[in-house]
Amino acid sequence: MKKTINANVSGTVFTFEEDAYEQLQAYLASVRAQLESNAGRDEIMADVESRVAELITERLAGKRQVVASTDVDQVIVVMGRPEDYGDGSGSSASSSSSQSSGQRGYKRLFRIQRTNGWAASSAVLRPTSAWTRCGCVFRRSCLPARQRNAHPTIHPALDPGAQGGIGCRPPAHGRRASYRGQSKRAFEEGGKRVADDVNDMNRRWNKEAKRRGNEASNVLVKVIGFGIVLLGFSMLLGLVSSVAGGAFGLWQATWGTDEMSAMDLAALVFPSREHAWWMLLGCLLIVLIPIVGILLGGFRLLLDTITPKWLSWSLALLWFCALVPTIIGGLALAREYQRDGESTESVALETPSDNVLTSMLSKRRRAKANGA
Amino acid sequence: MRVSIVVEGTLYPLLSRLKDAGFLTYRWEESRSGPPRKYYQLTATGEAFLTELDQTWDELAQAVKKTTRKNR
Repeated sequence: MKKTINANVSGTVFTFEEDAYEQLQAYLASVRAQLESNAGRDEIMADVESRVAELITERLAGKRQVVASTDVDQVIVVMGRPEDYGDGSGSSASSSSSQSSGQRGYKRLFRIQRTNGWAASSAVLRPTSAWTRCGCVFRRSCLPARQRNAHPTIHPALDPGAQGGIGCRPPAHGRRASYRGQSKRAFEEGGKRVADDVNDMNRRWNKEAKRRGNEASNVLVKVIGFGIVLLGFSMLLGLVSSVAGGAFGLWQATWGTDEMSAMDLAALVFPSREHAWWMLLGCLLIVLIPIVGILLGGFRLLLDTITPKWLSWSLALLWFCALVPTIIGGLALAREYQRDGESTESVALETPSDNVLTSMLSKRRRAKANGA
Repeated sequence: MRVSIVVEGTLYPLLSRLKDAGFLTYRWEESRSGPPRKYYQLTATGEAFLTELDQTWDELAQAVKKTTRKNR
């Protein structure tokens, strides 16, 4: 059982646990103290209390009636610690808070310096000026997405206070600052962090480019694999068509003849039927095995399948086994044709004795003798 | 990668200053989840200032880019 306290926060009455009430009261008091030098402190405090009330209402969400310490803790996490309300005026409190808030990654903001004439314009153009810092944070925080998207982050060079207060001071007034000067100063103050960010970005881009390159190469490999598979299937289809067409043609050519079969026709070319069989088998394997290899390679590229080594070696061995007898048979066939081409046959011509030519010749000889 | 966190509390002083500087104006609207809300809006001066900031940022970004390229 805990003691509760009713409190009015920006026009809304809440019931606090006692420790939560004290915690919130201390927080608001600290914020008020932090804004002591700010002319618009009352208005800011009213805005802060309104937001606190809104956050507490959201936390309770109509399910609970009492605000606990955890609720106040959560509100403080959202709103930020009292030192986060600092105006960057360079007080000791701000300096110490700068370091602690730097550890939390908070960005400190800086007061807009009211200046006149050319000093004001130089401050506006100065990237480390309070104008620029406030404007950048303001732009990121308050403007429509259309505006924020142009420069989605506040660069550390423009907000050096974020990392421990380097260059936290607003620019000196009455001193003209050129753009060249402001760039130099920005590099001096935030150069290392800028370089780190750029390098980090560069690394990320390189990584991304490498990743995309790998993706592109993978796609290219798949396309090549698909092409190889397509080529292999085409060759296989061509081989099957040739074999089937040849067999069908031979079968048709010898259909209905009992005296001659397809192998008899083959025997006309080859010295024997066995020779024809071996040559046919050898040629078939010599063409078929590379096609199988092409298909396996294509599938490997396309589907990342791994061909077992024993299969690769077996196919290679079978191919050589088919190649050797085919070459030997082919050479033997060539020698056979060469020998046939050189064969000569001597035939003795016999003179016919009783034909039309000889009878005519005899008649002419007889007539010539009678005439003489 | 560094992530920048701007807690809500930092905004209120900033909004107040920008309003005082004439860059912002606001209107009140009733809220269902608590007290009435302030909705801030850019003034013409604020728009001009924003444009100027954009230009400054672009120039600085170019300068940083050139410098980091030279140092690489």
